[in-house]
Amino acid sequence: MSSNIDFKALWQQQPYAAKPDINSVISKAMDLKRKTRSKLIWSSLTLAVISIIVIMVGINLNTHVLTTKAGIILIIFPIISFALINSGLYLNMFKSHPDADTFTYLAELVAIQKKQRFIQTKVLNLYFLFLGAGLLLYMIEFVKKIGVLWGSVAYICPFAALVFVYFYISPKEFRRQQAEMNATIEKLQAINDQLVTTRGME
Amino acid sequence: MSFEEIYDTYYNKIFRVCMGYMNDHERARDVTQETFIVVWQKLGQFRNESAIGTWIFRIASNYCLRQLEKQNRMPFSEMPIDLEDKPPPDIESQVQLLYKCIAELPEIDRIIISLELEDIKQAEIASITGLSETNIRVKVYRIKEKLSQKFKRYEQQY
Repeated sequence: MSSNIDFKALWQQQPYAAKPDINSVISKAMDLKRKTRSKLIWSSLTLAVISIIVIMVGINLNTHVLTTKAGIILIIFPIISFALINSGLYLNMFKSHPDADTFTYLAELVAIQKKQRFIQTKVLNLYFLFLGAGLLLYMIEFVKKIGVLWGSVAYICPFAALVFVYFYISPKEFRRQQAEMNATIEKLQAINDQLVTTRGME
Repeated sequence: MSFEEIYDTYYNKIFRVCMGYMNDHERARDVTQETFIVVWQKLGQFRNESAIGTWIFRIASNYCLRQLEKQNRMPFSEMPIDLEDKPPPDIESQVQLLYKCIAELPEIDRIIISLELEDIKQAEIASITGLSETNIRVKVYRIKEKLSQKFKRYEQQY
């Protein structure tokens, strides 16, 4: 089959697109910059507030029971981790470089998607595990004082809520997000494979 | 080169490459604007390791390919809409047919042929995609063959 159609000439026949005003592009770029900056400021503020609360709780803790202290640490740990993941650390972990070559960029995007999928699966489980264990330990001291019956009630209520969220609410949202991520990874991987196959032609 | 000069020199070239990849006027316009937003943000970091054109086409190509990742999250046409916003121009049927044929190719082929038709040197296309020049030469030849077949088939149909 000959390639005698002059595609280049045809391509050049395309009419010029109406070029948007440069100022609208610049203002959109500045707007994005502002949003990124304010997001960083807010996440740093949240982190600072949480840190202050943790310090205050530590100072005002009127207990010498080890399980209560351990419980508080276990409850606070996932909250701080979550805040940290949402802060600058999170931004750097998921930063891509659109000015890299396509091969590098696609590999970067696949890696980022996989990191996000990992965080969703592992970190979510760890979050609930720490929270549940922390709650269990924290309540021991107080449950001992109120007796077995009320103690059981006190345990059942928060744990029932936790179980409901873990087994009913979060799997639904989780499955939806996972399906989206898997589809994206699959598509990106397929494009990446096109490049790998082309490289193998040499 | 200032941002204004870059914008004036490359806007239409980038739009055409995006249009070749997307075959959708609105989306091509969005990705072109996204490309220039990144150019504006990163221009200070550009270190002349490659030609400015190569650098800009890299961003545009990557943003085209990235659309499938963003489809789930971000509605199209969130980019600034300016006063010149109007329906897609009535481009000639042969050009439309060319778009249609390109749109049927795999993603990487769409990028490569759009860059080739935009008259980007094959060495530059190699640098944009991360492939070797030999790869590009062979690829371009095969893509053109495929395009010719498709083009002729469609022409016979209509």
